Amino acid sequence: MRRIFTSVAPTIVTGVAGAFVLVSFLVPSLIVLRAPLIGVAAIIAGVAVMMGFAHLLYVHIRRLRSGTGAIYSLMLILSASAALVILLIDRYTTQQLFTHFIFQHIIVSTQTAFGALLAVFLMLAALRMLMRRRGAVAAWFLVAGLVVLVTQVPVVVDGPVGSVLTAVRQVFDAIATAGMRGLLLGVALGTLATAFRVLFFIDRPQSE
Amino acid sequence: MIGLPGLIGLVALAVFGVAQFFLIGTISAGRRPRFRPIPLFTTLRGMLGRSIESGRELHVSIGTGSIAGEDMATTLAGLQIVEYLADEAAASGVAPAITTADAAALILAEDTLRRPYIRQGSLESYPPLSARLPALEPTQYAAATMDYLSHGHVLANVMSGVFGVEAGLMARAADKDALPQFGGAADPRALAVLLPTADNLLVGEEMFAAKAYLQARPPHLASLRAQDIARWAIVAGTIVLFIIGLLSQAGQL
Repeated sequence: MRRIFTSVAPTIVTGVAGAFVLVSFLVPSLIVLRAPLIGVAAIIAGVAVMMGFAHLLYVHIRRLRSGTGAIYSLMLILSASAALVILLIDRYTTQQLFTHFIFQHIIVSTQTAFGALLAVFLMLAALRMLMRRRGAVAAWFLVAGLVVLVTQVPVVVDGPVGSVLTAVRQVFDAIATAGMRGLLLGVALGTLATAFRVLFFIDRPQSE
Repeated sequence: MIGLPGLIGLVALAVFGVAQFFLIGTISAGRRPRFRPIPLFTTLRGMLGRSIESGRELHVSIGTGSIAGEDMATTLAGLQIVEYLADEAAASGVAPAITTADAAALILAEDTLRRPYIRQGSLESYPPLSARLPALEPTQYAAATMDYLSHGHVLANVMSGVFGVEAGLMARAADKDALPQFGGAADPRALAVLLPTADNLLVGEEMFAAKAYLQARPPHLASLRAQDIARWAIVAGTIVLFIIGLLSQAGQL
Protein backbone atom coordinates (compact mmCIF):
# COMPACT_ATOMS: atom_id res chain seq x y z
CA MET A 1 0.00 0.00 0.00
CA ARG A 2 2.81 2.39 0.97
CA ARG A 3 4.54 1.70 -2.35
CA ILE A 4 1.46 2.91 -4.25
CA PHE A 5 1.80 6.35 -2.68
CA THR A 6 5.60 6.60 -2.72
CA SER A 7 6.42 5.00 -6.05
CA VAL A 8 3.55 4.07 -8.38
CA ALA A 9 1.31 7.15 -8.03
CA PRO A 10 4.13 9.77 -8.37
CA THR A 11 5.46 7.97 -11.44
CA ILE A 12 2.04 7.84 -13.14
CA VAL A 13 1.23 11.47 -12.26
CA THR A 14 4.60 12.65 -13.61
CA GLY A 15 4.23 10.62 -16.81
CA VAL A 16 0.68 11.81 -17.51
CA ALA A 17 1.47 15.47 -16.69
CA GLY A 18 4.63 15.34 -18.81
CA ALA A 19 2.77 13.77 -21.74
CA PHE A 20 0.04 16.48 -21.54
CA VAL A 21 2.63 19.28 -21.54
CA LEU A 22 4.59 17.70 -24.40
CA VAL A 23 1.46 17.25 -26.53
CA SER A 24 0.36 20.82 -25.81
CA PHE A 25 3.71 22.09 -27.14
CA LEU A 26 3.48 19.99 -30.29
CA VAL A 27 -0.20 20.74 -30.98
CA PRO A 28 -0.79 24.44 -30.18
CA SER A 29 -4.60 24.03 -30.13
CA LEU A 30 -4.25 21.82 -27.03
CA ILE A 31 -2.62 24.61 -25.02
CA VAL A 32 -5.69 24.64 -22.72
CA LEU A 33 -4.44 21.33 -21.26
CA ARG A 34 -1.43 23.15 -19.85
CA ALA A 35 -3.30 25.84 -17.89
CA PRO A 36 -4.63 23.65 -15.04
CA LEU A 37 -1.22 22.01 -14.63
CA ILE A 38 0.44 25.42 -14.34
CA GLY A 39 -2.11 26.30 -11.63
CA VAL A 40 -1.26 23.11 -9.70
CA ALA A 41 2.50 23.79 -10.12
CA ALA A 42 2.05 27.35 -8.80
CA ILE A 43 0.21 26.08 -5.69
CA ILE A 44 2.90 23.45 -5.04
CA ALA A 45 5.64 26.06 -5.51
CA GLY A 46 3.84 28.37 -3.02
CA VAL A 47 3.56 25.60 -0.43
CA ALA A 48 7.23 24.73 -1.01
CA VAL A 49 8.25 28.34 -0.32
CA MET A 50 6.28 28.29 2.95
CA MET A 51 7.95 25.02 3.94
CA GLY A 52 11.34 26.43 2.92
CA PHE A 53 10.79 29.52 5.06
CA ALA A 54 9.84 27.35 8.05
CA HIS A 55 12.91 25.17 7.38
CA LEU A 56 15.17 28.23 7.33
CA LEU A 57 13.78 29.49 10.65
CA TYR A 58 14.08 26.02 12.19
CA VAL A 59 17.77 25.71 11.16
CA HIS A 60 18.61 29.10 12.64
CA ILE A 61 16.65 28.50 15.85
CA ARG A 62 18.74 25.35 16.29
CA ARG A 63 21.92 27.33 15.64
CA LEU A 64 20.76 29.94 18.16
CA ARG A 65 20.30 27.22 20.79
CA SER A 66 23.66 25.61 20.05
CA GLY A 67 25.43 28.98 20.18
CA THR A 68 27.33 28.66 16.86
CA GLY A 69 27.02 31.93 14.97
CA ALA A 70 24.16 32.85 17.30
CA ILE A 71 24.27 36.57 16.59
CA TYR A 72 23.91 36.06 12.82
CA SER A 73 21.11 33.56 13.31
CA LEU A 74 19.29 35.92 15.65
CA MET A 75 19.58 38.73 13.10
CA LEU A 76 18.30 36.45 10.36
CA ILE A 77 15.30 35.27 12.40
CA LEU A 78 14.38 38.84 13.38
CA SER A 79 14.79 40.29 9.88
CA ALA A 80 12.98 37.39 8.18
CA SER A 81 10.09 37.58 10.65
CA ALA A 82 9.89 41.37 10.34
CA ALA A 83 9.92 41.20 6.54
CA LEU A 84 7.17 38.55 6.57
CA VAL A 85 4.95 40.61 8.89
CA ILE A 86 5.54 43.83 6.93
CA LEU A 87 4.86 42.20 3.57
CA LEU A 88 1.69 40.54 4.90
CA ILE A 89 0.37 43.83 6.29
CA ASP A 90 1.36 45.63 3.10
CA ARG A 91 -0.81 43.34 1.00
CA TYR A 92 -3.86 45.14 2.45
CA THR A 93 -2.60 48.61 1.57
CA THR A 94 -3.18 50.17 -1.84
CA GLN A 95 0.31 51.45 -2.68
CA GLN A 96 2.38 48.75 -0.96
CA LEU A 97 4.95 51.32 0.13
CA PHE A 98 6.78 49.09 2.60
CA THR A 99 7.24 46.36 0.00
CA HIS A 100 8.72 48.87 -2.45
CA PHE A 101 10.91 50.32 0.29
CA ILE A 102 12.29 46.92 1.30
CA PHE A 103 13.02 45.92 -2.29
CA GLN A 104 14.42 49.25 -3.50
CA HIS A 105 16.43 50.33 -0.49
CA ILE A 106 17.50 47.09 1.14
CA ILE A 107 17.43 44.13 -1.25
CA VAL A 108 18.34 45.82 -4.55
CA SER A 109 21.03 48.06 -3.05
CA THR A 110 22.63 45.17 -1.15
CA GLN A 111 22.60 43.01 -4.26
CA THR A 112 24.13 45.78 -6.37
CA ALA A 113 26.92 46.35 -3.87
CA PHE A 114 27.54 42.63 -3.70
CA GLY A 115 27.50 42.29 -7.48
CA ALA A 116 30.10 45.05 -7.76
CA LEU A 117 32.47 42.93 -5.67
CA LEU A 118 32.29 40.19 -8.26
CA ALA A 119 34.60 42.00 -10.69
CA VAL A 120 37.26 42.33 -7.98
CA PHE A 121 36.84 38.70 -6.88
CA LEU A 122 37.07 37.52 -10.46
CA MET A 123 40.28 39.46 -11.08
CA LEU A 124 41.83 38.03 -7.90
CA ALA A 125 40.72 34.51 -8.87
CA ALA A 126 42.23 34.92 -12.35
CA LEU A 127 45.53 36.10 -10.85
CA ARG A 128 45.59 33.15 -8.44
CA MET A 129 44.88 30.78 -11.32
CA LEU A 130 47.76 32.20 -13.35
CA MET A 131 50.10 31.75 -10.39
CA ARG A 132 48.95 28.24 -9.43
CA ARG A 133 48.11 26.57 -12.73
CA ARG A 134 50.49 27.60 -15.48
CA GLY A 135 49.03 25.37 -18.17
CA ALA A 136 47.31 25.68 -21.51
CA VAL A 137 43.96 26.60 -19.93
CA ALA A 138 45.51 29.45 -17.94
CA ALA A 139 47.36 30.73 -21.02
CA TRP A 140 44.17 30.59 -23.13
CA PHE A 141 42.21 32.35 -20.38
CA LEU A 142 44.83 35.12 -20.24
CA VAL A 143 44.93 35.56 -24.04
CA ALA A 144 41.11 35.58 -24.31
CA GLY A 145 40.82 38.06 -21.43
CA LEU A 146 43.37 40.43 -22.96
CA VAL A 147 41.81 40.26 -26.44
CA VAL A 148 38.34 40.96 -25.03
CA LEU A 149 39.71 43.87 -23.00
CA VAL A 150 41.51 45.39 -25.98
CA THR A 151 38.78 44.88 -28.57
CA GLN A 152 35.64 45.51 -26.53
CA VAL A 153 36.69 48.75 -24.83
CA PRO A 154 34.32 51.40 -26.26
CA VAL A 155 37.02 53.67 -27.66
CA VAL A 156 36.82 54.82 -31.29
CA VAL A 157 40.19 54.34 -33.01
CA ASP A 158 40.54 55.50 -36.62
CA GLY A 159 43.08 54.51 -39.25
CA PRO A 160 44.89 51.20 -39.68
CA VAL A 161 44.88 50.42 -35.92
CA GLY A 162 41.09 50.78 -35.88
CA SER A 163 40.73 48.44 -38.88
CA VAL A 164 42.92 45.80 -37.21
CA LEU A 165 40.93 46.07 -33.97
CA THR A 166 37.65 45.68 -35.86
CA ALA A 167 38.97 42.63 -37.73
CA VAL A 168 40.24 41.00 -34.51
CA ARG A 169 36.91 41.77 -32.83
CA GLN A 170 34.99 40.15 -35.67
CA VAL A 171 37.17 37.03 -35.55
CA PHE A 172 36.73 36.68 -31.78
CA ASP A 173 32.99 37.40 -32.02
CA ALA A 174 32.70 34.56 -34.54
CA ILE A 175 34.69 32.19 -32.29
CA ALA A 176 32.65 33.19 -29.23
CA THR A 177 29.33 32.74 -31.09
CA ALA A 178 30.40 29.34 -32.43
CA GLY A 179 31.51 28.23 -28.97
CA MET A 180 28.27 29.47 -27.43
CA ARG A 181 26.17 27.63 -30.01
CA GLY A 182 28.14 24.43 -29.45
CA LEU A 183 27.62 24.74 -25.71
CA LEU A 184 23.89 25.42 -26.08
CA LEU A 185 23.52 22.49 -28.48
CA GLY A 186 25.05 20.15 -25.90
CA VAL A 187 22.82 21.56 -23.14
CA ALA A 188 19.72 21.20 -25.36
CA LEU A 189 20.56 17.56 -26.09
CA GLY A 190 21.23 16.92 -22.40
CA THR A 191 17.88 18.51 -21.53
CA LEU A 192 16.13 16.38 -24.17
CA ALA A 193 17.75 13.20 -22.86
CA THR A 194 16.88 14.03 -19.23
CA ALA A 195 13.26 14.87 -20.12
CA PHE A 196 13.01 11.69 -22.18
CA ARG A 197 14.24 9.54 -19.28
CA VAL A 198 11.75 11.15 -16.89
CA LEU A 199 8.84 10.84 -19.36
CA PHE A 200 9.55 7.16 -20.01
CA PHE A 201 10.06 6.29 -16.32
CA ILE A 202 13.76 5.46 -16.78
CA ASP A 203 14.63 8.13 -14.19
CA ARG A 204 12.24 8.60 -11.31
CA PRO A 205 13.61 11.48 -9.25
CA GLN A 206 10.23 11.96 -7.59
CA SER A 207 9.59 8.44 -6.32
CA GLU A 208 11.23 5.62 -4.37
CA MET B 1 -3.85 20.60 -35.75
CA ILE B 2 -0.14 19.82 -35.49
CA GLY B 3 2.07 22.42 -37.22
CA LEU B 4 5.34 21.89 -39.09
CA PRO B 5 7.60 22.76 -36.10
CA GLY B 6 5.54 20.38 -33.94
CA LEU B 7 5.84 17.63 -36.54
CA ILE B 8 9.62 18.09 -36.78
CA GLY B 9 9.84 18.02 -32.97
CA LEU B 10 7.74 14.86 -32.81
CA VAL B 11 9.87 13.12 -35.45
CA ALA B 12 13.10 14.17 -33.68
CA LEU B 13 11.75 12.88 -30.37
CA ALA B 14 10.64 9.60 -31.95
CA VAL B 15 14.04 9.06 -33.63
CA PHE B 16 15.83 9.90 -30.37
CA GLY B 17 13.54 7.53 -28.46
CA VAL B 18 13.98 4.64 -30.90
CA ALA B 19 17.78 5.14 -30.87
CA GLN B 20 17.79 5.18 -27.08
CA PHE B 21 15.73 1.99 -26.68
CA PHE B 22 17.81 0.24 -29.37
CA LEU B 23 21.00 1.24 -27.54
CA ILE B 24 19.61 0.07 -24.19
CA GLY B 25 19.12 -3.35 -25.82
CA THR B 26 22.64 -3.48 -27.24
CA ILE B 27 24.30 -2.28 -24.04
CA SER B 28 22.27 -4.69 -21.89
CA ALA B 29 23.45 -7.48 -24.22
CA GLY B 30 27.01 -6.68 -23.16
CA ARG B 31 28.29 -4.17 -25.73
CA ARG B 32 29.15 -1.35 -23.34
CA PRO B 33 30.34 1.87 -24.98
CA ARG B 34 33.53 3.61 -23.91
CA PHE B 35 33.49 7.31 -23.11
CA ARG B 36 36.34 9.76 -22.61
CA PRO B 37 37.30 10.19 -18.93
CA ILE B 38 35.88 13.22 -17.11
CA PRO B 39 38.23 13.98 -14.17
CA LEU B 40 35.51 15.44 -11.94
CA PHE B 41 33.57 12.18 -11.77
CA THR B 42 36.74 10.22 -11.01
CA THR B 43 37.61 12.63 -8.18
CA LEU B 44 34.06 12.55 -6.82
CA ARG B 45 34.33 8.81 -6.17
CA GLY B 46 35.56 8.36 -2.63
CA MET B 47 35.07 12.03 -1.78
CA LEU B 48 32.59 11.09 0.95
CA GLY B 49 35.17 8.66 2.35
CA ARG B 50 37.64 11.53 2.63
CA SER B 51 34.90 13.57 4.29
CA ILE B 52 34.51 10.85 6.96
CA GLU B 53 38.27 10.61 7.49
CA SER B 54 38.73 14.35 7.85
CA GLY B 55 35.55 14.96 9.85
CA ARG B 56 34.60 17.77 7.51
CA GLU B 57 31.49 18.22 5.35
CA LEU B 58 31.28 17.87 1.60
CA HIS B 59 29.26 20.79 0.28
CA VAL B 60 27.16 20.20 -2.82
CA SER B 61 25.25 23.11 -4.31
CA ILE B 62 22.55 22.25 -6.83
CA GLY B 63 22.18 25.91 -7.72
CA THR B 64 19.41 28.42 -7.82
CA GLY B 65 17.15 26.81 -10.41
CA SER B 66 13.69 25.44 -9.92
CA ILE B 67 12.36 22.03 -10.88
CA ALA B 68 9.57 23.72 -12.80
CA GLY B 69 10.19 25.47 -16.10
CA GLU B 70 13.27 25.69 -18.26
CA ASP B 71 15.74 25.04 -15.41
CA MET B 72 14.25 21.63 -14.65
CA ALA B 73 16.73 19.46 -16.55
CA THR B 74 19.78 21.36 -15.30
CA THR B 75 18.60 21.13 -11.69
CA LEU B 76 17.95 17.40 -12.15
CA ALA B 77 21.46 17.08 -13.60
CA GLY B 78 22.81 18.61 -10.38
CA LEU B 79 20.67 16.21 -8.37
CA GLN B 80 22.26 13.24 -10.17
CA ILE B 81 25.45 13.94 -8.21
CA VAL B 82 23.40 14.13 -5.00
CA GLU B 83 21.78 10.79 -5.87
CA TYR B 84 25.18 9.14 -6.25
CA LEU B 85 26.47 10.64 -3.00
CA ALA B 86 23.24 9.71 -1.19
CA ASP B 87 23.88 6.00 -1.79
CA GLU B 88 27.39 6.37 -0.34
CA ALA B 89 26.02 8.47 2.52
CA ALA B 90 23.46 5.85 3.54
CA ALA B 91 26.19 3.20 3.53
CA SER B 92 28.68 5.27 5.52
CA GLY B 93 26.33 7.23 7.77
CA VAL B 94 27.80 10.64 6.85
CA ALA B 95 25.73 12.77 4.49
CA PRO B 96 26.96 15.68 2.38
CA ALA B 97 25.53 19.17 2.93
CA ILE B 98 23.24 20.02 0.02
CA THR B 99 22.22 23.62 -0.58
CA THR B 100 19.83 25.24 -3.05
CA ALA B 101 17.97 28.52 -3.46
CA ASP B 102 14.70 26.94 -4.57
CA ALA B 103 12.19 25.59 -2.08
CA ALA B 104 10.79 22.89 -4.39
CA ALA B 105 14.31 21.74 -5.31
CA LEU B 106 15.04 21.56 -1.57
CA ILE B 107 12.20 19.08 -1.07
CA LEU B 108 13.45 16.97 -3.98
CA ALA B 109 17.05 17.09 -2.72
CA GLU B 110 15.93 16.06 0.76
CA ASP B 111 13.92 13.20 -0.70
CA THR B 112 16.86 12.11 -2.87
CA LEU B 113 19.14 12.00 0.16
CA ARG B 114 16.54 10.20 2.31
CA ARG B 115 15.61 7.47 -0.18
CA PRO B 116 18.72 5.24 0.20
CA TYR B 117 18.25 5.32 3.98
CA ILE B 118 14.68 4.02 3.49
CA ARG B 119 15.89 1.31 1.09
CA GLN B 120 18.45 0.15 3.62
CA GLY B 121 15.95 0.32 6.50
CA SER B 122 18.04 2.83 8.43
CA LEU B 123 15.87 5.94 8.25
CA GLU B 124 16.66 6.74 11.89
CA SER B 125 20.30 7.42 10.82
CA TYR B 126 19.23 10.04 8.26
CA PRO B 127 20.52 13.50 9.26
CA PRO B 128 17.40 15.65 8.69
CA LEU B 129 19.17 18.97 8.05
CA SER B 130 21.53 17.76 5.34
CA ALA B 131 19.55 19.56 2.64
CA ARG B 132 19.44 23.29 3.30
CA LEU B 133 17.83 26.40 1.89
CA PRO B 134 20.08 29.30 2.88
CA ALA B 135 18.09 31.88 0.89
CA LEU B 136 15.48 32.15 -1.84
CA GLU B 137 17.22 34.57 -4.18
CA PRO B 138 20.48 33.94 -6.12
CA THR B 139 22.64 36.76 -4.70
CA GLN B 140 21.42 36.22 -1.15
CA TYR B 141 21.98 32.50 -1.59
CA ALA B 142 25.54 33.22 -2.72
CA ALA B 143 26.13 35.42 0.33
CA ALA B 144 24.77 32.80 2.74
CA THR B 145 26.78 30.03 1.08
CA MET B 146 29.94 32.17 1.22
CA ASP B 147 29.44 32.42 4.98
CA TYR B 148 28.96 28.65 5.25
CA LEU B 149 32.05 27.93 3.12
CA SER B 150 34.16 30.34 5.19
CA HIS B 151 32.99 29.29 8.66
CA GLY B 152 31.75 25.72 8.29
CA HIS B 153 34.07 22.74 8.42
CA VAL B 154 34.03 22.09 4.68
CA LEU B 155 36.21 19.55 2.88
CA ALA B 156 35.36 20.46 -0.72
CA ASN B 157 32.93 22.60 -2.66
CA VAL B 158 30.89 20.98 -5.44
CA MET B 159 28.61 23.25 -7.49
CA SER B 160 26.54 21.65 -10.22
CA GLY B 161 23.23 23.06 -11.35
CA VAL B 162 21.70 26.35 -12.42
CA PHE B 163 24.01 29.28 -11.67
CA GLY B 164 24.51 32.81 -12.90
CA VAL B 165 27.45 35.11 -12.24
CA GLU B 166 26.80 34.84 -8.49
CA ALA B 167 28.61 31.48 -8.67
CA GLY B 168 31.82 33.54 -8.76
CA LEU B 169 31.13 34.83 -5.25
CA MET B 170 30.77 31.34 -3.80
CA ALA B 171 33.78 30.12 -5.73
CA ARG B 172 35.83 33.00 -4.35
CA ALA B 173 34.89 32.10 -0.75
CA ALA B 174 36.02 28.51 -1.30
CA ASP B 175 39.14 29.64 -3.16
CA LYS B 176 40.12 31.91 -0.27
CA ASP B 177 40.34 28.87 2.02
CA ALA B 178 42.02 26.80 -0.73
CA LEU B 179 39.16 24.26 -0.75
CA PRO B 180 39.10 21.81 -3.67
CA GLN B 181 36.41 23.01 -6.06
CA PHE B 182 34.33 21.20 -8.63
CA GLY B 183 31.89 23.12 -10.76
CA GLY B 184 29.32 22.44 -13.42
CA ALA B 185 26.97 24.81 -15.18
CA ALA B 186 25.02 25.26 -18.38
CA ASP B 187 25.13 29.07 -18.41
CA PRO B 188 28.24 30.44 -20.20
CA ARG B 189 28.43 33.35 -17.73
CA ALA B 190 28.63 30.97 -14.78
CA LEU B 191 31.23 28.85 -16.58
CA ALA B 192 33.33 31.95 -17.22
CA VAL B 193 33.40 32.93 -13.55
CA LEU B 194 33.93 29.35 -12.34
CA LEU B 195 36.85 28.61 -14.65
CA PRO B 196 39.56 30.50 -12.71
CA THR B 197 38.77 28.82 -9.39
CA ALA B 198 37.47 25.33 -10.18
CA ASP B 199 39.90 22.42 -10.09
CA ASN B 200 37.55 20.51 -12.37
CA LEU B 201 34.73 21.92 -14.41
CA LEU B 202 31.74 20.26 -16.08
CA VAL B 203 31.02 22.29 -19.20
CA GLY B 204 27.40 22.26 -20.42
CA GLU B 205 26.49 18.81 -21.67
CA GLU B 206 29.01 17.08 -19.34
CA MET B 207 26.72 17.90 -16.42
CA PHE B 208 24.01 15.68 -17.87
CA ALA B 209 26.40 12.72 -18.08
CA ALA B 210 26.72 12.34 -14.29
CA LYS B 211 24.56 9.23 -14.01
CA ALA B 212 26.22 7.49 -16.94
CA TYR B 213 29.67 8.05 -15.43
CA LEU B 214 28.86 7.53 -11.76
CA GLN B 215 26.31 4.71 -11.91
CA ALA B 216 26.96 3.31 -15.42
CA ARG B 217 23.56 1.61 -15.80
CA PRO B 218 22.55 0.59 -19.37
CA PRO B 219 19.72 3.19 -19.74
CA HIS B 220 22.05 6.04 -18.81
CA LEU B 221 24.91 4.82 -20.98
CA ALA B 222 22.40 4.47 -23.84
CA SER B 223 21.11 7.99 -23.19
CA LEU B 224 24.63 9.41 -23.37
CA ARG B 225 25.44 7.47 -26.55
CA ALA B 226 22.15 8.65 -28.13
CA GLN B 227 23.13 12.26 -27.32
CA ASP B 228 26.50 11.71 -29.01
CA ILE B 229 24.83 10.30 -32.13
CA ALA B 230 22.31 13.18 -32.23
CA ARG B 231 25.14 15.70 -31.84
CA TRP B 232 27.10 14.24 -34.76
CA ALA B 233 23.93 14.16 -36.87
CA ILE B 234 23.31 17.86 -36.12
CA VAL B 235 26.95 18.77 -36.86
CA ALA B 236 26.84 16.83 -40.16
CA GLY B 237 23.50 18.47 -41.06
CA THR B 238 24.89 21.94 -40.29
CA ILE B 239 27.96 21.34 -42.49
CA VAL B 240 25.83 19.96 -45.36
CA LEU B 241 23.43 22.94 -45.16
CA PHE B 242 26.40 25.33 -45.04
CA ILE B 243 27.90 23.77 -48.19
CA ILE B 244 24.53 23.81 -49.98
CA GLY B 245 24.11 27.50 -49.05
CA LEU B 246 27.63 28.26 -50.27
CA LEU B 247 27.09 26.42 -53.56
CA SER B 248 23.73 28.07 -54.19
CA GLN B 249 25.30 31.49 -53.56
CA ALA B 250 28.15 30.64 -55.93
CA GLY B 251 25.57 29.60 -58.57
CA GLN B 252 23.82 32.96 -58.28
CA LEU B 253 27.03 34.94 -58.86
